[in-house]
Amino acid sequence: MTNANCERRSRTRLASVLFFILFGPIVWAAHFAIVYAGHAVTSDKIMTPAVRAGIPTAAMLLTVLALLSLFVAIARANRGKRAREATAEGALFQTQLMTILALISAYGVFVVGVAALLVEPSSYFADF
Amino acid sequence: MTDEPREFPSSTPRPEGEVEELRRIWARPEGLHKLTAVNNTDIGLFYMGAAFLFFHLAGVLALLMRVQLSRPDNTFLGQEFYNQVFTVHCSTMMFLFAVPAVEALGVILLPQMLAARDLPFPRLSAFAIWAYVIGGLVFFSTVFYDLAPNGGWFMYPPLTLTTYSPGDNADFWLLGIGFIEISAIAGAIEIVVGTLRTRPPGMSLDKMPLFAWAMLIFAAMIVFAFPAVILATMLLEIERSFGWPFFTAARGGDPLLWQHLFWFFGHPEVYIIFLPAAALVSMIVPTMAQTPLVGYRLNVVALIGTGFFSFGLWVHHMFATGLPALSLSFFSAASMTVAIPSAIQVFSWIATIAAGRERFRITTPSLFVLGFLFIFAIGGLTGVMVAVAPFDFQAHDTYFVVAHFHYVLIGGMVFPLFATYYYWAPMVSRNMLSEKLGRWVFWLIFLGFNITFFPMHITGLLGMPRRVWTYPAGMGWDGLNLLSTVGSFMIAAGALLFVIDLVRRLRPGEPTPENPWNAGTLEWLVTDVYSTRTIPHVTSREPLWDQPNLYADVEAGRYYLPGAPTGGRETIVTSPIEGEPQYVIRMIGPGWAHFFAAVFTAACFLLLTIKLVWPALACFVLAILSCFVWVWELDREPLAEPVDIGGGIKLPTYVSGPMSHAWWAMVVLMLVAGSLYVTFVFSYLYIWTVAPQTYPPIGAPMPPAFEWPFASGALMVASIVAFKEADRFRPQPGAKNLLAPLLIFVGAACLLAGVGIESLGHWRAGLSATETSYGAMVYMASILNGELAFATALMAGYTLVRFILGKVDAVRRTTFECTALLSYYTAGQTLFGLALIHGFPHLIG
Repeated sequence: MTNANCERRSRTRLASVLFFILFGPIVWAAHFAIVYAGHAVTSDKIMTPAVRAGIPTAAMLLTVLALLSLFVAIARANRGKRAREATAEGALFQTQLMTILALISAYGVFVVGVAALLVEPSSYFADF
Repeated sequence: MTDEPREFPSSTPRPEGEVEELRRIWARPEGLHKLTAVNNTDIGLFYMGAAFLFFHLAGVLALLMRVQLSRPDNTFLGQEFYNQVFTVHCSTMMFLFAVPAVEALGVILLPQMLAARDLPFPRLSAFAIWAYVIGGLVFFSTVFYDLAPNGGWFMYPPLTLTTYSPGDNADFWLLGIGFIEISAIAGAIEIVVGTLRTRPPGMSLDKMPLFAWAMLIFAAMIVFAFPAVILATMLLEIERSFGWPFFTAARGGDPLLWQHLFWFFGHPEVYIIFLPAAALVSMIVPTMAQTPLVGYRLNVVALIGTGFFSFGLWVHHMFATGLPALSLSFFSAASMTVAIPSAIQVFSWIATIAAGRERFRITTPSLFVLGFLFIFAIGGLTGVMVAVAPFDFQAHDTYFVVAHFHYVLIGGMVFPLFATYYYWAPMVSRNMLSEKLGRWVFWLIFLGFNITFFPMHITGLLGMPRRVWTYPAGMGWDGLNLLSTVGSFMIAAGALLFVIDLVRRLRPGEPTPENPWNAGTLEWLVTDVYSTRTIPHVTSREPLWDQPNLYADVEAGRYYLPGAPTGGRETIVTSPIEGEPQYVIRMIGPGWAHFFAAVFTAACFLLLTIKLVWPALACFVLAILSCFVWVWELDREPLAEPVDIGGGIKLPTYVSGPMSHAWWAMVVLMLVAGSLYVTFVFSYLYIWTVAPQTYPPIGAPMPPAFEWPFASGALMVASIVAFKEADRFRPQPGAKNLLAPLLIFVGAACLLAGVGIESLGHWRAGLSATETSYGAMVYMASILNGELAFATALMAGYTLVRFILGKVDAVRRTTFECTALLSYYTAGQTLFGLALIHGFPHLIG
């Protein structure tokens, strides 16, 4: 193998393994950032009745989307090509890490999603 | 990369004198030259000693506070001095003890656990340590000159703005802590690259010791969390020095921006401290139970999960600032999520103790581990209480919170650290600490801790606020405070007893067996100044338990790198996932350059703090020169042939690009710069949400006409092209080519000019940095891009000189690659900044 090929392989391999293992937390972080920032900015800047009504729906859709992506990724990792290749202990280890992290992330997405659904936009604690 | 892999352990006899040569190569410097040492054990012990010194100094300050609070209306300390004392106590414990102590453990233990000869950047570690020691001593000594910061370890504005803190006290915190954070980041780069690239052959990710996992996550968290506080300290110092209103509400700033930035660092900081400590427990418990850890994979999940989720919790420190219910509920929910990985670890330790092949051995390390479990569980439970917003409103800023975080931090970090001292002492010095004294130390600290801090839950619930220097009689707090003071002296007695034991063990005595606890991990192999005799091939997580002849085979030179094939300091670099040998890294030994770089950098920061700008600049120049001398030897001429590392395996001694450890370090550095810029973008957008009236077109002039950003952007693109072309024109070894250096010069000049034009455009458009927060933010973007452009220009100048001297060519290209990487990143960040600064006002306007 040439040096350039080796370099490319080394770079893509690590990036792909990292992305695979951290897929769950990455989805959690993206969901958290998008729902929170979107919720906060639209509540603050564009507070028409239509927007007020639309925020929980958008949050719910994003939550469902995030949960779906997590469960599909878990299923693919455990049934798909990667699982068949996971005969080596290292690959099995990566799949297991990915699965458990994605499950914990799904819980995190769910509780944040529920919070976004239940909390009235722009409300304060004193309003309750 | 391997040529005909052979079976290990090898049966080839080793030549005479190999060990003596290793000893000569790795010999420790003596006398004054000890200051030049770079070997991980030497500097790691020095690092740990310094951290332990700061722990005791901060402890003395704690005793002063407890004496002051032991009775009502006490005047033992004055109010102003009390403010300084509690600020320095907290800052020292967090910045000068907790994080450095963990990094020190990483420097000492990681190479031993990975059986590496050393970490890949020994001088970087030494630089980080000297910078920390000098910066830390200067910072701490301010308490003796009435110059100590007095705004709390969190330094909230507006209290710390010049209006309310006019002296230099706050500047000492801002510049001192900023400097120490830079040292922590330097250490983190070493740990990330070291953990991923210097593992022994065969140690794939699933066989890594949990401490190595924890240190990897610890360092990654530093890379992403510390830039937030570095940016925050830059903003506050600039506001204090030049009046740019980032935090002044009257001019569109917001004090809460500081809190967001500070706690975006501050909350992960708790886990940065806790995760390695928890991993130490995960290393000690299996040994004491003589069984592998139950749930190794779940523990790795817990470490990664905690590291990740800890970045989504920072707002729970700000529940009482009047945030919308949305923020409270989001961050309350996220705070509950992080409890899951923490609980996984606790159950894993309990299960391992229960599953032990023999009865769990109650030794001093075990006592500290059990004490940790008890105390940390209580801290965790009160943590769940304060994560509930309505309760937090009641308990906020009371002694309940003081009790909570001491239970978490002392329970979660100090107890495992003492367990570590007792457990790993024989590895470091071949001398065990006294079991008898150790038990006294444990019980004094354990009982003293609970007597000190448990009553604080009650004083807090009775309404005693934090940070008060005294209190009136008759509030119901007198007896509880006296009890806390008595407890604090018990802790001090325990700590003192520990020091006495440590000093006693410095005397030569009967050496203990090589592996007194019968542990399973590699740090218990026989070591010398060069680490282990050979680097073993690892086939399991507990190689000393599962590979019975490993001791003898490693000592007999039957594994990798039994000698010194390049004739100098070296270790094997392996692939990051599978741990396959890739090349032999040639490391440099002791030297003065990194030491002087640290001294001059510290002097530069100190002189800036006391507003001596010209001497500070002189020190800055000297620091840069020292850095150049330091790195001059790094990119060495490649050896013509691969070298034999034992068993007939031959590896190259020079690689470049993504395979090289230098490339990795540069990528981690770019991640640090990226994190800093992302937090800046957050700040820019945050200020828009709270003070839209300061943004154009109402509060400030619109960004300059299209020609300005276009010219700046064109220069950035030109810089990228110039560096790409320079790469193409690199000469063959021995040949001369002036086109490549010329292109490097052009590339660096384009970067500097591009950033300059961007600032000039705003200045010509009439934008002021001091009138509104918007203006301050726009110029801050230029400062951040300008810093990188300046650093790139310095590196380009250095590369240029090496080009001209024939030390960079088509094969020997690491120096050029690192400079080019930084230049591409700088151009990319500046282009993104141009789009944000020029596009966003049009979007909202």
